[in-house]
Amino acid sequence: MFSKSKRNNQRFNKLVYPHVTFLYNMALRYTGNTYDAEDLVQETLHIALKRLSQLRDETKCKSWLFKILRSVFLRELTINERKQKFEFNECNDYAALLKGVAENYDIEKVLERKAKNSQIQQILETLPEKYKSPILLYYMEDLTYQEISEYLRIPIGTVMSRLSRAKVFLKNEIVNILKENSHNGDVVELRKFKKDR
Amino acid sequence: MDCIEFKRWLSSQDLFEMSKVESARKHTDLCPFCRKLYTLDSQIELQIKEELKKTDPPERLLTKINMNVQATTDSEFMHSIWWKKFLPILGVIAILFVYFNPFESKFKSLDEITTLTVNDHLSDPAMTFHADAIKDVSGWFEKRLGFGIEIPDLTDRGLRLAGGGKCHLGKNDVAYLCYDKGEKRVSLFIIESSDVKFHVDEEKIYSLSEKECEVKVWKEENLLYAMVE
Repeated sequence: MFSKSKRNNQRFNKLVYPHVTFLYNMALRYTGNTYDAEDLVQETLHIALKRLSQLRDETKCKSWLFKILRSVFLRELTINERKQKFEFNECNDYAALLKGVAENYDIEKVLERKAKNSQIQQILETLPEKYKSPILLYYMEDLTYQEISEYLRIPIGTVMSRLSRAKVFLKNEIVNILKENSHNGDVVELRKFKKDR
Repeated sequence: MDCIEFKRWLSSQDLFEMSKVESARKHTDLCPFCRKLYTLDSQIELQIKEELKKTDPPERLLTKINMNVQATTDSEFMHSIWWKKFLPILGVIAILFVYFNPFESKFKSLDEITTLTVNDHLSDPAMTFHADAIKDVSGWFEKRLGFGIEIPDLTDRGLRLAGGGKCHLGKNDVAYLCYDKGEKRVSLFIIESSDVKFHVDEEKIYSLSEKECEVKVWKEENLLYAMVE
């Protein structure tokens, strides 16, 4: 009995433990703070340890763990939070916004004033989970559409459209932050400069 | 690819085929403004990746995980299913054990007391003391048994106390008194009622017989009497 348990622990250490960093970072982005992230990881691993015998294909351990983490996270969300209203402003054309920046600002200086990590986290927090998960898996884990589709158990086409919309939203917000940071700093707004001249 | 098509591609790259990437790259080679847009987008992409790069989990989390794994191992036996399948059987065994406990020293029935007292009576046990030698018979037993006895007055039944002693009935120490009834010998066993597991009505005298001996059993306060003649 105890040797079986010991074997299970050895298997856990071999298969699950290497993915703790991945789980922690996903949890960190989901919850937005270290303490909730730690709780989320612990609960995920507790479930994983209990159900380790159900993991048949060891090569899919990472996606299996992610599914557990995500389901625990979603369970924690209240119904109101889960159904949070979120609308993309389709009129807010990303290319047009970029064009505006390119025409009116000194790009190099705009890019020097990066958006802070906390600001990106704030933008992520406004994203519903169905957009947040593909974004995190794409940027943090460099997963392909196919892999994201397997992790989230959604069709690849859905991954592509969600990822596209979420990226545009994220980039739009970042461009707005960059513009705002430029106003607060020493970046010259070219149009104003031209007019003044 | 022209500028309009390039901007459409830039806004939703994920929805276009990979082949469009090459077309877009060729267009940026020719169009400086679109190249500027592409550079800006690439820098934003880089910034996102940089900000979303992984951080190491805190040491305390790793410690807690290790502790949780260890704790789960320890409690796994309690949570494992295989031995729980035998719970009903174990339960029945436990009940039977409590009910028919072979190590139980208490008397379980009148029949048991009857058998034991009759056997003892027929074996003609030796008396430790003679009635004439001891004045305080009750005190004598209290010292040796740990409980005091009340000696019933049986003179009206023609019984004269001859003597007695401590004796064993089953696994219990009881008081044994020997009476003379003419030529016959009568034995009286006095048992502490806490050694009796079954209910005995104080109002009744139970009469049983075994091996041509008659046994009368009654209870007075915390003592059970079994007289064999």
